[in-house]
Amino acid sequence: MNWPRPIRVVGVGSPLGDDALAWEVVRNLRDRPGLRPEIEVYIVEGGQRILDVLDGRGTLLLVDAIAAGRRPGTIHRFEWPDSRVEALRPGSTHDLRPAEALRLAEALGIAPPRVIVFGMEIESLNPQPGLSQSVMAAVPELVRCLVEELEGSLIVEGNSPEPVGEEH
Amino acid sequence: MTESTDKTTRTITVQALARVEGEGALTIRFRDGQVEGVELRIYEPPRFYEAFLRGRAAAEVPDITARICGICPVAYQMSSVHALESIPRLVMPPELRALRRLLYCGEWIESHTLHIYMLHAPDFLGFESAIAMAQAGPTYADIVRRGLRIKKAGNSIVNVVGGREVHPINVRLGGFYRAPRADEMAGLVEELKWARDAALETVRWSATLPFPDFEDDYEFVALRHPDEYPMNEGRLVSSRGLDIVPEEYSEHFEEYQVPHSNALQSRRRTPSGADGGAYFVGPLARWNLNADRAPALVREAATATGIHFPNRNPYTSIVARSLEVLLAVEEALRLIREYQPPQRPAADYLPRDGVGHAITEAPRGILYHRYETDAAGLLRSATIIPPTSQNQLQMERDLMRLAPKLVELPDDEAALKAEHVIRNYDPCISCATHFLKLKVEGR
Repeated sequence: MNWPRPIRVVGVGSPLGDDALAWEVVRNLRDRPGLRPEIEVYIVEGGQRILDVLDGRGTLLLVDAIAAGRRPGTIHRFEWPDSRVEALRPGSTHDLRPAEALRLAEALGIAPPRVIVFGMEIESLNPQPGLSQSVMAAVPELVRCLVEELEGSLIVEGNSPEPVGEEH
Repeated sequence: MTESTDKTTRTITVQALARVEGEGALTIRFRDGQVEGVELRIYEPPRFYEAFLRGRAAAEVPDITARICGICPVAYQMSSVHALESIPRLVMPPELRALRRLLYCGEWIESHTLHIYMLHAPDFLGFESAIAMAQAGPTYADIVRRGLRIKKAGNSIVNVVGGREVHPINVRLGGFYRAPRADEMAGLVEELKWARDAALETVRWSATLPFPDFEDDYEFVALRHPDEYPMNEGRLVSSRGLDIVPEEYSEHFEEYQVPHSNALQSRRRTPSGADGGAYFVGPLARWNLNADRAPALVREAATATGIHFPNRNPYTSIVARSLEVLLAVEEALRLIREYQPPQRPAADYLPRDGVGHAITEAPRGILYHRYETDAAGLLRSATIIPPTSQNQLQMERDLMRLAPKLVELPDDEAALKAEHVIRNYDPCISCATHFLKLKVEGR
């Protein structure tokens, strides 16, 4: 599949409790040997910071926690636009939900042409230290899904490499 | 979503439940056409942390408290390190003190700009959100873009000084783990110069917004420093003559439980008149009490707005917030210009038993921390009083005054007007642009 470049993986979450799911996924992904340098990997705290890494180009793979009442550890995959993305991460007085951030990006002309969202059902909403066991146990599978997706994206040749992203 | 329960009670759910930060809810009760009561319910994450911190080593505290708030982690770090450093009476070397001020500037720029452009301005301009504003045409989209770019300049400061933008990890007791290199600092300058012009434009633009007439006799409370605009230190003063050191905070302010909320509210221990001890913290309070400490460029920008300060209309907080963005950019440029990498990134912190207090100016107002440590530096207790719980009673008072004007309005319009009043205080409660569950009873 020919994906628009650059390819950016953006994990959304705070570093506490099950909300740290994306931190764990991103850490796993970065630690993987052979991650292609043209893939930019970021972690951002909340929806509004997604906007900081968008410039109207490429493919965005969003990773976020989701609380939709399914079994903890369940992995969802959506292609934006999809109303189910609305269920991801409520905002706060200072934040936007990922879906709002994407809509704002569209209004500002900085939305990437392709957006894929991976969400995992989490167990607890509390800011406890560490991930719940059920969520932790499902992290490798989510990483595997992401890698599979990324590998599929890289079959096509002929694109110049993009710079490696810094942690945000 | 509107649910009708009976003829006299209606509940409007404006936003679904929020997650880690909890949810905000507002109930306004009417009886016979009169406002009977206003209850604002806020969930407060800091309470969890007070328990979580007990028994931890002092050195762990800045990293833990940084996690309390995604948008103002620096404020939590700053209040915590200054409170803990006051126990062994550690005096911060001037170059490290300057670096902490620079870090705070970054957070003020980021947090204020986000609030001004993404949340508060849409209220004034009649848009339901920043998205609707950006969709309203190229002029408005450019305004939103300007806000996002200024915000990013603030992010960059936090990234360079704080170690990363999200939950900065570079702050430690005694200073920093690593001081930025001169070239890292120099790399911030060009964008900050752009941000200074954009911040000036923000001040001009914010002053043109329509401010509803809503003045009241508030008690404004903020830090005051002998020779600088307050961020990390100073005496605590008020527009009614309070003038104390942070150690005296609990003699003059108290927290109490209200039945409608699991969060504690704060009030003055000497309730004066009808306000029941409510007080007002944040940019408008700071500017009202400290405008003379601002750099000339910012004072001149304030004068040019034509708005009179000190100002008692809470809606003008957006102008005060804009002035503080300009101030933070100007201060950041000065601090970077004067920067010499310190010989050591941190002074030695020697744990001892005792009690330490600190108040710093979080973007949305004073943030009080108190810690008690044992001889090994382990925490016996932690008290964290965030600005939002300090403003909460004042928000309720404002909503009481607003409520009679809401009686005749449709529910969604009433909710927007109530949110606008609450957003004057830039509260740290959850849910996005429409964060309230507004419940109107008995009208």
